[in-house]
Parts: sequence; structure tokens; C-alpha cells
Amino acid sequence: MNRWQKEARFTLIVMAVALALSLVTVGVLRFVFGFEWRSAMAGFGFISLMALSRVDPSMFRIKSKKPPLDERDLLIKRKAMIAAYWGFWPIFVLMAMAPFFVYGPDGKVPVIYLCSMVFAGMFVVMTLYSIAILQEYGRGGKDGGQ
Amino acid sequence: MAASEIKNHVRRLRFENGRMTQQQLADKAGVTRQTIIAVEAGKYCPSLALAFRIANALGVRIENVFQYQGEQG
Repeated sequence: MNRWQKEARFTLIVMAVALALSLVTVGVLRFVFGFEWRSAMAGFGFISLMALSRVDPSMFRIKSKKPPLDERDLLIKRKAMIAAYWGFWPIFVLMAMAPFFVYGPDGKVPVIYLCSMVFAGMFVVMTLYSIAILQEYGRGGKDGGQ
Repeated sequence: MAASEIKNHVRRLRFENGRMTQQQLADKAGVTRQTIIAVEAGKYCPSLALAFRIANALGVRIENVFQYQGEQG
């Protein structure tokens, strides 16, 4: 397993932990402590743990003089970025258009909705990117001739 | 181009070349060992430049390493 696979696996683990912790906290606040939904949503603060996935890239730094990236690695990274891009846009556009149908053309969008758009976008990009990296390395990266 | 259309003899040539290891070939060709493994397994079709570097590292001509298996005109 190379540096990029380790990084992708670490990202997926951090994302899963952040999401699970957030959902559990919201559930506990709502159903165990009886908070209102609005207050219980504070549990989503744990989603910010996603930032941990970018905290320490030195964990994966290769110390030898081997080439850190070759043409296959670059091809796989490019494919992963394209996968993340195609996953991000439909969701981002849907989330941007949804308030029009929910609140109407003259409605007001809660500030938290805008924040959640950013987090959802980031979540989708990082998740799809990491999955695509692991999948491409898993099946050998296919052809370099595109 | 699908990787399966290109047949390669990297593994055989490595052994004929003093049992060169995948790592040694990777170092000579300037790629990672994973890439050599993928090329040998036919899962990755290298760029023309890398194909030449692999052939040079093995001390043979490129056509002795890689052969096109698709339809011949």
C-alpha cells in the first residue's frame, strides 16, 4: 500500500468517524436528553473532525529517494479528481436549488443551510476522491494511454 | 487503449537479465514498484516514454518487450 492509498484510507476512516459521532450525538441530544431538533443539531459540530484528515500529511511522507509519484499515480489521482468533481456538482446544484422549492422565491434561507452546503460538498469530494483512489489502485490503474 | 491489447514480456526479460528484481527495474525506469507490478500483470499500459525506459532498462528494443495484440491492419 503506497502513500496515496494510506492517505485515502485514513481520510475515509476520519470521515466515517466524524459522521458517526455527529449522528450519534444528535440522536443522544434529541432522544436521550430531550433537546429540540434545533438544539440537538449542535451535535453536527463533530463533523468538523473531517479537517483531521488533512492535518498531518507528514504521516505518509516517504523517506527514501524513490520517486514519490510516477505516471500511473498521476493518472489515478486525475481520475479520482474527476470522479469527485462529477459527484460534487449534482449534489451542490441540488442543494442550491432546493431552497427555491422549499422556501419559495422570496423565502429566507437559514444560515446553517449555507454552512451545511459547504460541509456536504467537502464530504462528497473527499469521500469520492478517496474511494476512487483505493478502487483504481485496487484494480491496477488500467491503461496509461487514457 | 485497453491494457489487455498490449502483451508484454517484462517478467521473462527481467529473469533473463540476471534475475533483475521488480524494484531494480523500477529504479532504473524511474517509477514505483507498484507500477512495474501492474505492467507485468497487464493491468496497466504504460506511456510510450515509460515503455522505452523499461526497454532500455532491460537492454532490449521496445518491440521485444511490448507487442500489440489488437486487430492488425
